[in-house]
Amino acid sequence: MTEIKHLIWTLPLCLLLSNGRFSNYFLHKYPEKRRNVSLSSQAEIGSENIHTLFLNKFFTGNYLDESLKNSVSNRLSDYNRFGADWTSELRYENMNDSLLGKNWGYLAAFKNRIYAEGQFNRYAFDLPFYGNAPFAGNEISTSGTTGFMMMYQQFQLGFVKTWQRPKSQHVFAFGLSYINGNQLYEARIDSNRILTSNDAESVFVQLDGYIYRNDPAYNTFFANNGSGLGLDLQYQFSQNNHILSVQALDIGFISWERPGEYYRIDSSLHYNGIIIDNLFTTDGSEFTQFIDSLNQNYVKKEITNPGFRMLPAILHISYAYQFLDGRILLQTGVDARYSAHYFPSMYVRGIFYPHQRIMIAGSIGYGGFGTLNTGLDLGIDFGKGYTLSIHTRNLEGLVPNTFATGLSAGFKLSRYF
Amino acid sequence: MKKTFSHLFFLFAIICIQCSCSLDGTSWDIDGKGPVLQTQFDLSQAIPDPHLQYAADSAIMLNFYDTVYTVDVDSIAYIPDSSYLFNITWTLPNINLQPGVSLPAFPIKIRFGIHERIKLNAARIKSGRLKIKIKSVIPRKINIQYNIPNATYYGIPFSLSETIPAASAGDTIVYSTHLNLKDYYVDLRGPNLNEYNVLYIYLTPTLNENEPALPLSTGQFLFSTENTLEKVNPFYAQGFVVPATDSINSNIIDLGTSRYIRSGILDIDSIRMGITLVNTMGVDMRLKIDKFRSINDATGQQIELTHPIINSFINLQTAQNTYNTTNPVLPYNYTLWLTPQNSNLDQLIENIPDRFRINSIAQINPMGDATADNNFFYTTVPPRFIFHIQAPVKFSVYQVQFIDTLDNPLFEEIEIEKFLSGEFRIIAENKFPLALAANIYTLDDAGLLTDTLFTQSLISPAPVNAANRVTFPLISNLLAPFNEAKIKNITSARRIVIKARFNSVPNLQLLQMYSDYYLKLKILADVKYRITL
Repeated sequence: MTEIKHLIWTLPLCLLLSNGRFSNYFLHKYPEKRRNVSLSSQAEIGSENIHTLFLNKFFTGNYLDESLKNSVSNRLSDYNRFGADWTSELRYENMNDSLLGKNWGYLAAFKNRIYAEGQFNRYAFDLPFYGNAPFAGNEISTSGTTGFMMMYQQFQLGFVKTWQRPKSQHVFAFGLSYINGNQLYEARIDSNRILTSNDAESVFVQLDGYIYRNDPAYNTFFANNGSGLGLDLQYQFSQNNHILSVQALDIGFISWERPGEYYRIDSSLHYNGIIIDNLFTTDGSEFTQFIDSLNQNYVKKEITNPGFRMLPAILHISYAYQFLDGRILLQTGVDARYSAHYFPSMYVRGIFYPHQRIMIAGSIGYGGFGTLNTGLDLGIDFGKGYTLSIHTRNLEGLVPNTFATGLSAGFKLSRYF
Repeated sequence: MKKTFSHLFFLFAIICIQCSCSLDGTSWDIDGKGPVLQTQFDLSQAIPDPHLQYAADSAIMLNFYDTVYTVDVDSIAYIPDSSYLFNITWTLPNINLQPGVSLPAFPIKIRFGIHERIKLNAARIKSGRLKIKIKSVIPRKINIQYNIPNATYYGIPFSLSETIPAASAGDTIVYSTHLNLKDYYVDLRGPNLNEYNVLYIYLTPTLNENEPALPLSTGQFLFSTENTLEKVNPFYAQGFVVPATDSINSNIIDLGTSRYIRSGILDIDSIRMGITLVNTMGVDMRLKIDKFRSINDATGQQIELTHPIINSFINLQTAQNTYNTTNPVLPYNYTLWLTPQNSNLDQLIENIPDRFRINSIAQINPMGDATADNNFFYTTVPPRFIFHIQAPVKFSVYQVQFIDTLDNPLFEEIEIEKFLSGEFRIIAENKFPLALAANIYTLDDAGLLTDTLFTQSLISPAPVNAANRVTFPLISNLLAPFNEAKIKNITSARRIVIKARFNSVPNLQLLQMYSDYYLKLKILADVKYRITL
């Protein structure tokens, strides 16, 4: 029986009810310690075609030269995915709680998640970064460009049950979360046409789309703009050196109840220049009046609530096999999301313990918000139950370059006791 | 272990660098192309519509008029702030005043206005107040009746009743209030209608019915009153305006033309210029124009008007009082028309004057008391000069140069340094038979020319047909290319100079302007612009 228990807790389990690509790498060091408290944070940003050199230059206050813009523009397709996910979590686990019964455990967690995704038409990149002059005489469109960003806080309570057999083990975990819908931004261009005349005498713009934002008065961290529920499920089967795990996380919704601001445009404008009625009496206010008139005549503001939005649920399936008494593990898996813009991400990973207190893992994958990616995980056991691991799924993006299209990083600091 | 930590810190540093996002300073260049602004000029924008008239064939006639000088009648009707202090003393034999019994009314006389300019017999007050202060030493409660029978508010005489408490021994009771005189009509002729500029107040004290009898002895001081006129301005004044002579030496129109037009020949057809003298006062006036000059400040050239009216008196008869509140005066108007035929008006105009200046004397009520005491005036309708110019807008200009120098106002708000290179193009659609060559020049601190904005700067004149009439416009392109060096010159310029040279074509031929003539300008941009977050 002891051996089986040892088997359960010494394999590098996927984190229970948490991001499946992150593991408990040093659980085997503390077989008798059933409680754990941890702080973790992981962020990723990715796109099919916007490479890391561009992201690095853009987000660090640099000049974006023509060759840099060209290196992105030349690889753009008609529609291009992008996304970002930043989850931070504080959690407590107790895997052998006597109150709940034999082989029951529980966990409690507080999470904050910022999630954004969308897609953009190639001209949604080219127009702001090249201007309209290169397209004079040709009608261009940014139709289909869409994106949203939501931030929510999750208060989770989960339970874990294990069933032990002579040669195998089954673990089932489920968790329920109350979700505080904190911030939501959405933008969508349903239809758009832009035509600049060759002689520069006119610019025609047709636009049907909207931008939504929360009530700015309720935009601080923790502000409640809506509420929701989330369900996390996980099943893990292990036998001998094989481990199979299936996770379904963040199955749920947020009802965004507090009215926010929709700015809708469904108009066309044939712009021939700002009209100065009288050169003798003008004070130059026509320019600001023109901007005001655009707001008044073309932008329709509505105060309403956006209603239900599904959470970006995650489905993660992984299989792992250990060699050499667990000094080497090979893992493969796929994760998918409830998202039109997240391509199912497949990966293989090798986990190696060169020293009993050090873990190094390397991975290669394809999909997600980006494309091909390589990962590196490093873990250190400081002793007395303290461990730290850091990781990236985009090693190729650590040094900004023009072929990698994702950036990610994360850490987990935990203590077993 | 130390090595492990150092590696950890290194890795954290990489993560931190990746997360240290700041968009501040992120920048890139775009190529923008499109229209910036458009405007259309026609003569109705330069000259307000009330001053233009249109003939059947749409030829434009100028009929400009404006009040250019106003006589200051407020100075004639001026009523200074003044206080009048009276001590009331019992001058009759000793008596024992019984409760409820009044003393005889004490008359108090206050003066309105300055009789050197006007002897008022009546006025309606536009604003101001009468401040009343009473200081009593009477050891009884006294009822005071304060009456001004000649100050009426739409027929109702002013009357005020007030009870003043008893003064204790050695003490003084002070009572004060004020009367808002707005809209009061005051008869200033006194009780016997033989005075002027005076208003009588009658103050009647009565011993309160609940007080014991009050012994009064001859020479006993009772109380004092102080009546102060504050900021009193009449709306209407009537009386006798004292004959006076005033000088009027004034610019009656100030164009500042030579500040902008430095040279050239201007020829205007069939112009006539008028000065209308409007007498709105109920008193005769006479005006003698000593000089009327056209002055060009740039050249120093002064052309004096030659016309029979110079040094002759113009009689301005008295206006009629209609007593109508909305239109109270029927003024007497006298218009003097100057034409090329009766004067040297052409010379005055071709001088391209900055201003016209008049030196004259005005005599008010020159006939003395001929109108008795019925002179009047309304301060809201003062006598004035109205200046007219009437002419067909038909002229020729030859090499007329407009120059203006300004402190560099260019583009502070639009951050011109973000324009890196490119070109601004002005499409000018011109239906005037006028050629215009315009440019903008930048000057450095020493006033030296540093750059020129336009490389093509000529707006061609629209061609005229055999009848000297434009039938279709002509389009010209003005180009202002720029690069970083030019932008630097513009942003560092202390001042800019705008120069424009006008020629009517055909040259030196009078050309009539029509209402369908216009100049459309459209500014287009084709620029490289730096966006900075």
